[in-house]
Amino acid sequence: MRKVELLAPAGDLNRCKTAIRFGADAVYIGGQSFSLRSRASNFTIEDIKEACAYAKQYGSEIHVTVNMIPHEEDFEGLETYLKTLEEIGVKAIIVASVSIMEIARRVAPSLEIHCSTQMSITNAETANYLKEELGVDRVVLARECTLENVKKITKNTSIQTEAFIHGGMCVNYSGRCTLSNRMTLRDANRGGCAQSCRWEYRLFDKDTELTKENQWFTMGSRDLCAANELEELIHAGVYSFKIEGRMKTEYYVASIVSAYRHLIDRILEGTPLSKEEVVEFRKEILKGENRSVCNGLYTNDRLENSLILHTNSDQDVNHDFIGKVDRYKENTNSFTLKVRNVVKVGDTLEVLSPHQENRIFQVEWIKDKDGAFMEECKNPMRLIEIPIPFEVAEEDIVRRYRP
Amino acid sequence: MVKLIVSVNTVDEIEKAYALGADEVVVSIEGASFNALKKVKLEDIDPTIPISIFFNCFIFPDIKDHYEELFQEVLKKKIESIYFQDPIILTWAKKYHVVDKCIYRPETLLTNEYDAKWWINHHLKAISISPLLTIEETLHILEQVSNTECVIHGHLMMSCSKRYLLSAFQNTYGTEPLKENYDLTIQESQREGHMPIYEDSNGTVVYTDYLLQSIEEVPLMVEKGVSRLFINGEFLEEDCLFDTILLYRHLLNQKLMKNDCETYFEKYKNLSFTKGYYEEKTIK
Ligand code: SF4
Repeated sequence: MRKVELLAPAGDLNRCKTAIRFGADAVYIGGQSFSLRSRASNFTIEDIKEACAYAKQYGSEIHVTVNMIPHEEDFEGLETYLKTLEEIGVKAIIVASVSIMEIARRVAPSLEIHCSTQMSITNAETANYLKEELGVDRVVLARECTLENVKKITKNTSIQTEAFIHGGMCVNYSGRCTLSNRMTLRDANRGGCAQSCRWEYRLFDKDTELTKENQWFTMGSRDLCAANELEELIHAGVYSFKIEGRMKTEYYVASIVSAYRHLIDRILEGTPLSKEEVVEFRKEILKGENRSVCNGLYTNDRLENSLILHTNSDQDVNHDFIGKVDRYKENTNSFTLKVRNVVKVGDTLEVLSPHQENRIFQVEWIKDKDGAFMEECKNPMRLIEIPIPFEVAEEDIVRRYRP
Repeated sequence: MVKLIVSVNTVDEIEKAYALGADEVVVSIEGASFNALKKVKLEDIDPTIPISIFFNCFIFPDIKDHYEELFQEVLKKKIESIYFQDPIILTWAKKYHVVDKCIYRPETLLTNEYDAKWWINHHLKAISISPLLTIEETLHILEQVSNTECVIHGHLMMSCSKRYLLSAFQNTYGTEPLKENYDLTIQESQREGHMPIYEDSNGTVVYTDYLLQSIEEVPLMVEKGVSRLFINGEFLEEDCLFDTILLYRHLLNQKLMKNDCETYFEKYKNLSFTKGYYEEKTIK
């Protein structure tokens, strides 16, 4: 079957390496300039260089977001930056401004240009127009497209399409939202979004208030999980499948990438997935997720099922992540890890290793770093040792098992 | 000559707007226009009167053919300008030889001279720059790029969503139907201002609580070569809309008296006028 791309986010070098190890075909990252999610953009040029070298070892690629809607002063240093990205081995840039695309074509011709979702591409004619006028290599489709829309666009354009499959969604058309600008003066189109759509609002009809305490009007979108649609998207010819979340943790990146990797590999085997299999894969994906999800607009659900209409919608804490394997000790069949969440003797844990089925085991004992036995460990970042009945490797992810 | 453009809410307002000094009048039509102007029926528009249209919805494959037909219908009117944000409209404009009537208005996306130039070099009639710019940034673009339009007055669109946000609220909390209701506003729980919100078949749009006004900035824009000055008619009472047209017409004709401004702002003192982002640069 043809190749498809699992495209993962990373907010720093560690997360980038994790995404690659767990099966991302490409990782998108943000440099310290010219990128949205400026607070998630920690990559220096040296980091990007290292990411490219690391990706190469695994046959993976690095894409860099250059997706701000630039004001005049934002062009300063852009040409040099693009040339440098080309030189150090970046495969593609993700861009939302036509003039940045033009500049990139001129000064760094071997960089692929991917049109950002900020451009809200919702039809094949627009995709073809951008290809003809600017030579773009790929379009990231608007998250407003339904599954049928994506199929039709992909069929009717000769350039690669990329579709979001997982993560946070703007409730508004990308690039057209200035809620944050108005509320906080932070420019959403230059990476400063304060997520004002998720705040609490009172709703009035003339002078009559329609909202009540704890029944606020909010506009936040639920996160996307397209596990149910992925098989059809692949068969429709979509080339790249994007996970959103450059602000997300290493654990999130590992578990979501790993779960989608397994699902994509299974789809690429060729035989159709049964309903039960899809349910299982979806369950697996959602173990790494802590926010309520929906099918996005793939099923054209424009009403309450795709929205968060209650307060405290932005909880982002996941208590399942126990830690990363620090070292495997073959002689004692045990491993050490730095604890992130409470772990007790008797707990059932699950190990996520790149390109392997997840494995589970029960905690028989815990020792602290001085070799003293303990019943449970509550202190974050404490180094502990746990026995394990199979071999694990450094950096493998350990989490609480949830059947 | 600098043109004064105004968007209106009804067919009846078209002639009056021209009579008061608007050079172009823009209307919204059912489906094709994604904003909170009241929609006029295409068949109600007199084919002998010059008119401009917002054709600024996003076009999805399932509605594409229908909208291309609607586009052709629009062209049967005496069309002055077609406002668009989805480039597919430009491909249709090429096909029907009306590129020189097209104005690219992506609300927030044109924020620098280079992007503005790229679009204008595609033989469009004009481009409309983002109202999120400071006055210095605006003047700089005007100096560099010809055929540029600035929104100078009215509520500014803050967001547009494909979701039916009001109907979702209605379904969840059991209110009366909220779709196509022009009287709704939202107020952030910690703030004062009421922001107009409106939902129709395209989705939901939210506007600023304040009204932008540019009485002092317009002469600067004219000096730097602005082509078109746009008054947003959304949520403006008819009287206010007409007074606003007259105010800016006098300003452009250099007939504005000091007390004209005072009378205007006194009459509409219940509205909250600001300078938008002219003096306040957004941060990254
Ligand atoms: S406020 Fe919400 S919808 Fe708007 S840009 Fe931010 S996250 Fe997206």
